[in-house]
Amino acid sequence: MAVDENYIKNLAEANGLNIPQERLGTVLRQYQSYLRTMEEIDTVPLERETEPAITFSNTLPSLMPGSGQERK
Amino acid sequence: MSENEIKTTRRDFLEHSAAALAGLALASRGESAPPAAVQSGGIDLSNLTIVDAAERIRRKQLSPVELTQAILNRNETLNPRLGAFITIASDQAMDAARTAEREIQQGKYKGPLHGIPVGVKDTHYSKGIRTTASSNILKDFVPDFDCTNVERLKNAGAILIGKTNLPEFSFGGNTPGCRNPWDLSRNSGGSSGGSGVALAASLILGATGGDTSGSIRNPASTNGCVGFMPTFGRVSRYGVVPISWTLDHLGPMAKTVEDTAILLNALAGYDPKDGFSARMPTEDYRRQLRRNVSGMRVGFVADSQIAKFHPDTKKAFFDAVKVFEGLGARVQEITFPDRMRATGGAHGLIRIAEAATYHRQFLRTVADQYKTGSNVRTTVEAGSLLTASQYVRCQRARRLFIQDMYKVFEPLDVLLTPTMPAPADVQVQVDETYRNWWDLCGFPALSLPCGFSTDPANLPIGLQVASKPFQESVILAVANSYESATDWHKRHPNL
Repeated sequence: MAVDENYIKNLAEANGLNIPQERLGTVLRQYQSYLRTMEEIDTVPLERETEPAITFSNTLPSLMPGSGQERK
Repeated sequence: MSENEIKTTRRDFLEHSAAALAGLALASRGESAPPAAVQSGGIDLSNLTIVDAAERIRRKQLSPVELTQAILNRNETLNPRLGAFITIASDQAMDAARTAEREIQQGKYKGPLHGIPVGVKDTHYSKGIRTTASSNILKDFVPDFDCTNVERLKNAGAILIGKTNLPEFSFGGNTPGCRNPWDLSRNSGGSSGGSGVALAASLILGATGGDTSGSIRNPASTNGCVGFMPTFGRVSRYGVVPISWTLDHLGPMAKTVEDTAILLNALAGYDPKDGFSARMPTEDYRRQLRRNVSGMRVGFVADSQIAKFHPDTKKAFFDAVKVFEGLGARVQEITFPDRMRATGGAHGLIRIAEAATYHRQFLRTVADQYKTGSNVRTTVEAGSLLTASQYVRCQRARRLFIQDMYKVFEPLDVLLTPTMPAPADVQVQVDETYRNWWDLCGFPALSLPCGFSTDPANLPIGLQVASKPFQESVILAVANSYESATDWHKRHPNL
């Protein structure tokens, strides 16, 4: 499938976004630059054991942001 | 308390006049009097550091109220030209200054930030003061609580002067409307450009910034001050408008390394409100400053890896390396593994995929309110189209990048690079800037002044000092040694 303005429009709609017609060309160029970067990253072999580097630090539920406790 | 009572109290507070203080400050530095334009109410603000002001406040030789008023007066004169602040909270600042003065009079001195005027980037939630992130979308947003950083600065007794300028939602390395005090025709860098300008122009004594791709260190370098991005998790991000949750760092900016250490003492430490906050013990960073750099293993990026950097930047950088040699450091040239250039690309995609999810609500409801000509909307619209699989592949590549960075640091205590490829607004085409790499791996990095350009003339150049996670005290000690051996930080823009 060609990555063109129509592709961007459809992909955006599938993601719940409506990108106006006049903006599709600009967004397409930006998206293509992301894909080029992704291609370069994908040239690096990833071993099966390589986990993503998302860190997580657990805490008590009462102290989690949004619990309402944090503003007291 | 009536105004008359305040004046009487203040007279009692001051053992010496502000004018005499200014003379003392200059005499102690062996410098001539500055031009009248930089004096405010008899206080020489351009030479005033947190260390200087704190010592005089502690001795009751300088009133927090007088100091805050002098700062506000200076802002009234200079901020319209410089655009460093989006919001100046004069009334709240004066109220806080009076409180600080009263506390100190009552013997409740809190430490070196008590009564010190500071600014925070306008992404930091501040109770009762609007927090716009320089956007139309949040232009009327007034938080009902302080972010952790503002709360900690206030607890340390600091006086919040206002909210500093940035590009829309922190997107970008320049700050529109914010002028470089060294050359008003040039930009301030970014995204914490307002904080950098406000420090260089002595509109505040300390500041905070946010750093996702170098946004503390860029304006520190560009404006000639110190900016420190601590280890990911070291300083809380709670209550701050984000770009990217796994890349955002917050940290202090100041005129000197010691001032930066004082600010970090207040800001650092575990915060249960921040899910990524590190449960690592903090240190008294100011006390660690005197550590001897002699014998330390100081790496520096090879000439071949910064070949396209501006000649003045390269000269200042390699001159700085020689200073470390002179201080007895064991310097060694470093090249980065080739693989890091590919895996380093993960930074941009992780940043924009996370940003797109923060902006999703805005894109769906108020997309027309993004600023005209801004790249924010385009960037997050396109970022919204990245897949979960692509995002996770980037985070896996990030793991390799971090492993490689640990290997680079195996023989090193710190690693030096130029902070910026070129002085303000000078365009050079480089393969890698060595700024967002530290955000990607979460290692701490600091920028401090290391010279001035010759062509164009008189623009600050910054030296970046990086280290392994949670080695903030090592970075500060190394930076302090360099600063003590040079006088770049003593130069001030002619305003």
